[in-house]
Amino acid sequence: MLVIEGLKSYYGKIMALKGISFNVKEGEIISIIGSNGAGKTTTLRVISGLLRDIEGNISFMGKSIVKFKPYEIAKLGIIHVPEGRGVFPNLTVYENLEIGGYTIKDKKRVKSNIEKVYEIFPRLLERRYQKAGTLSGGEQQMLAIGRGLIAEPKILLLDEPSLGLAPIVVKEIFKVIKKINREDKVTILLVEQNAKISMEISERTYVLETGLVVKEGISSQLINDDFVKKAYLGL
Amino acid sequence: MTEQLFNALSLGFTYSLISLGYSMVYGIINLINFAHGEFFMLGAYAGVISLIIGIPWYISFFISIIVGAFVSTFVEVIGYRPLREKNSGRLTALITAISFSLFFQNFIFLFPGADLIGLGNRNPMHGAVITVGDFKIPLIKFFIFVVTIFLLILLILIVYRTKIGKAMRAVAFSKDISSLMGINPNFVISFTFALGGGLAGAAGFLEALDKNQVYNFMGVIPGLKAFIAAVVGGIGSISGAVAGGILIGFLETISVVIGLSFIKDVISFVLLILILILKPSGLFLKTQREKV
Ligand SMILES: Nc1ncnc2c1ncn2[C@@H]1O[C@H](COP(=O)(O)OP(=O)(O)O)[C@@H](O)[C@H]1O
Ligand SMILES: [Mg+2]
Repeated sequence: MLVIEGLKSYYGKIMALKGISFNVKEGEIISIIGSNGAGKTTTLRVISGLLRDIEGNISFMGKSIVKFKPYEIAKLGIIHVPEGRGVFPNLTVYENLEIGGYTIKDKKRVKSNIEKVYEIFPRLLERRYQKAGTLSGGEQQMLAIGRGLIAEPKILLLDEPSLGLAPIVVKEIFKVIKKINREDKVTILLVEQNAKISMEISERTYVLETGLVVKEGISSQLINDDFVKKAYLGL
Repeated sequence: MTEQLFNALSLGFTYSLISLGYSMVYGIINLINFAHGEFFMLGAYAGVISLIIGIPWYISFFISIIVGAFVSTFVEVIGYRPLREKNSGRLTALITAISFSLFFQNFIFLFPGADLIGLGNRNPMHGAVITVGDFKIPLIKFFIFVVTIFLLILLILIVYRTKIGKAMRAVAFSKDISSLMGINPNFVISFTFALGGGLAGAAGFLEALDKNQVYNFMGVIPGLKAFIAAVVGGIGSISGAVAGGILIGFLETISVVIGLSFIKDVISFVLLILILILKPSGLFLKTQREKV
């Protein structure tokens, strides 16, 4: 579904991604794990078109998307839930969800998608008229994921959904991620520092270190790999 | 007293209509569009020319709005957008704005010409008064009042109730994150310029009817004062722009009423300096403002 080949990305003269390749098949949850500064966020920003100084190829459903603008990529169904949530603090929860459905012409469909998101995250229903900036970190993450779902994504790119959240909230959110993948058939590319929980919910994992994929494999096997255990699971 | 109230309000509302464009554009791309006063001037010319060639006033008014909106969008697409995409600094944008200003002011020398144009009896409201109780109020002042209220309601509905309005507020927070929602930020920015320019064009038409004339530098002083109104109200805020405009309208009218008309044009500049020293975020902002 999503194929990345030899991807390099530059911030000025600095190369942040040094030629990485990976792929995501329809229906999968794929995780990319790596410590701070490994290039996880950069990878997602390149896929969604926010970073343009790149080499290599990205294709989605057989078509190269490297020349597409971010809003065109979003219209293809590649929905990026940015790091640090990126909800619109000046809009209400409801308006944030509406904006999530910006590309959908049919207002009724947006409404019914919002209802579905309220079922997934009842907390958002309670707070629907509140400005998103007044929500707690966990609620903002729910809103960011919920907002991503309104667009009926084919693939959801999640950037560190666990960041800064209490362990119980992280569990709750990851349960939902699994559920969205199983029940709504949304393919998921998950980028995380929290290696354990990511490998637990994903089919396959790529390990990213300073802009290079240093290991890849089936998550359930990788979780027992000596290198991964030592470097990422603190065992 | 009622007459002075309407004088103050109509003057203030004219500033408010111009001020909104400064404020919305700043809210969305952090740019002070110093060419904005010219959209007011060009709107006024468009309306006056339409009236003179015999187009009914309500259509002429509409033409003023369209011309203001069109020129504003033109400046954004031709001038500011390429600069934004090259990440040029604020100084470049400022120089661009001043160039456009000079261009439009001098364009008028070519067409329709350097002389000021009087409306004379082509002015549909010339000399007309309405009586409220014991007071006679020039019809145009009342008209400015009613039209501005109408336009403000329309603007609020657009910004807070429509899809594009919500997109404006989203882009004001972050162009990048908005684009992840499938929003084309450039389209939304152009729309914001169109809205601001349309309001300035409307203000130009009203001013032309009020003063019964237009000239090529007519946008300079009102443009500056409207900019000050936006800063005073807290630039980026819609209600702030309106409040700032009204405040300056009242201060100027009061200065005339108490016989200090020589300070009329200085007041707003003094106000600007005071605000920048004492409360740079603007008078009317409580906590965090909502930008657009
Ligand atoms: N805007 C930027 N300008 C310059 N360098 C950047 C920028 N953003 C990220 N980097 C660098 O790129 C590398 C990868 O960063 P990032 O993708 O944010 O890592 P991660 O998300 O894995 O923590 C880091 O070395 C970081 O310092
Ligand atoms: Mg990151």
